[in-house]
Amino acid sequence: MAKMKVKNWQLKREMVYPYEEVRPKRQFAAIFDTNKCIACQTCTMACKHAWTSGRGQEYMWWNNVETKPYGFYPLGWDVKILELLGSQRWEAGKYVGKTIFEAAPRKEVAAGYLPEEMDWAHPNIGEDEPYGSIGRGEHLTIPHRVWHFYLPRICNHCTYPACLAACPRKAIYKREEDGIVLIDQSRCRGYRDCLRACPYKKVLFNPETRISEKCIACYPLVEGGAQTQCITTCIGRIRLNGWIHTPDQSDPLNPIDYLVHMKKVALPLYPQLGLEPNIYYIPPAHVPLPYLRQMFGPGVEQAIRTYRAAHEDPKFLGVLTLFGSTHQWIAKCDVKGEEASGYDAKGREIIRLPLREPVFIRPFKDERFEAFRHNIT
Amino acid sequence: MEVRQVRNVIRTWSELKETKHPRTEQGLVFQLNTPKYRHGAHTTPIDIDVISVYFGPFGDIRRHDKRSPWVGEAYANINPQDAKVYGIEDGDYIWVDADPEDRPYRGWKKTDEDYKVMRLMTRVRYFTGVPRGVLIMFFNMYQASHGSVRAHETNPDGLAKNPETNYQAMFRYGGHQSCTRAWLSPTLMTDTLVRKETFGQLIGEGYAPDIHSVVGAPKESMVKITKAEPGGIDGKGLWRPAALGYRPTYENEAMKRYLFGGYISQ
Repeated sequence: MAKMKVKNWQLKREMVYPYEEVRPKRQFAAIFDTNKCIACQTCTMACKHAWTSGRGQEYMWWNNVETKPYGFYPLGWDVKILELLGSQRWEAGKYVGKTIFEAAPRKEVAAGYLPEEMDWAHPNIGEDEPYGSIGRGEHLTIPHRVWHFYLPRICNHCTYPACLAACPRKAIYKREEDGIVLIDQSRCRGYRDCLRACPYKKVLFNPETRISEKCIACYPLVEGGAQTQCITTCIGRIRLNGWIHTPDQSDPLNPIDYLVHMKKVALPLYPQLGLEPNIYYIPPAHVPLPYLRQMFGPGVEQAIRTYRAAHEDPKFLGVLTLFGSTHQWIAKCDVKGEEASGYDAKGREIIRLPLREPVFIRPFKDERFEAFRHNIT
Repeated sequence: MEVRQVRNVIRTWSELKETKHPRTEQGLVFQLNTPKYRHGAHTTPIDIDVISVYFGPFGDIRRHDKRSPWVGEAYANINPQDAKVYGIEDGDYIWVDADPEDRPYRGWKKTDEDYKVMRLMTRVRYFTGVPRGVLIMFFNMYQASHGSVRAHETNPDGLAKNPETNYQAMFRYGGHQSCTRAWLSPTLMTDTLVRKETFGQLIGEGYAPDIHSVVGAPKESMVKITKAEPGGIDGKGLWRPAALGYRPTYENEAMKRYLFGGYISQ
């Protein structure tokens, strides 16, 4: 197995990977704000109806939202990979433990495991279940002593996909134009080495066609300058699509670069696994830090502090306001006065929003209708 | 239609808190609540199979456990400490019984065919967020009928769907109405009662829904619970996720370490 040295900026070091470091021209990315997710599952159902409602796809949910900590899809997926890796250590923001590639058993590409069929059966297990129970006389603190939050997940379209690395037929490829990771449906033979290797378990097997499938980042939409289904249907407006660059290429006018590299408020999921995943999360402000450090890395404390001060920073507030504001892809954005604007790749303004909802105060008595206004119903 | 009249006796709180439900000695110590569920507006969690799978932790589109009435099924959230007192495990099936005076129907006998159809059986789910003494069963699922029960008991795969009408139940037996009742609000003033209209801001007089007639949902009832069947596939052993150690009170060592972020070494 080839072992090339590649740079992983999330780990602040080099690591091994079976292929050379070749970054796409642009990298598909998204940011999910877990502080706003209510687990309504609209994203889940949108993706299901768009892509995985066919025969053999019954257990597939390319997008899912799981409650943490007792929710999983598939069962125990993150517990298992963390256990396989053992202790994971960061030192001053640099990951000094092993990635799944570095921890791979001999002759294998990555440390991994194959879930059993029943592990996929109950996608909404653990919904709303908190860690701990509330005693008499208890009151809320930040962080919550008894806590839960919602973690929406799709394929991370990783820079260093384990699925791609594991496939002996090279049936998985990462697109040069946008970094979207796809399975060539005519080349796949259903060996499921990819299922075994992906630590996020976002490659799924179709027993009818006997080949594997995964989130395709709604690439027809992306090619047409739009954001994905799961992102645009989110009623809580917690998600934003965009292009991400490496820290040295970061563009402060790009909303993703701004939130990930400048404000450092959006973090990767289990970065210690080593795949450089490209879905970034604003961590939940009310959850105890040790659990969050395990999930999002050492940057959580600062991210939460920054997020909670958003109201003091108009530019930051403006970028957050753009989430869910348009189905079109936002390439650049800025804030002028009390308004935030999003622009497409050609620099055309596609959306403009006020930072605060305008407030109108109307008279108690409406003279025209000779009726009184109430502030209910 | 069954009718039952109750007295409306007013007490101060200090008097009320000393009273006990008259059926407490018979084990009716749980308050059963039937709130609305976030994934359903009206019947959407049950009309659509993909949403029904998300209706709680027991949804399984391939129905590995042939006892499942459909791809999703009814369940009661229970505080784990309460469950353990009754020897009930996470994922087990239980019987839920309310006031025997008139639930599931007046004059029931254990040997009635109707009793078999109408006695509530449901899955149980450990939920630490539920207070002691409370059962929460989410609302809006199609209850068992004679046809669905017949199908459930005769279909080789256990599907609780009446073949003659295509009625698909999400309960194996019974339903919320096996335990809950609607109560007419006590008021002697009907024709002359001045009140707000049901919709909008106008004030009117006389009969209006929600003031004079049956309140819809949710409903509640005092109930007792009994273990019916183990939660494991086809009635053997623990429900799989509990057996594997990913459920509250059943956590395996890795799960325990995971819960407090123990995989990051400082």
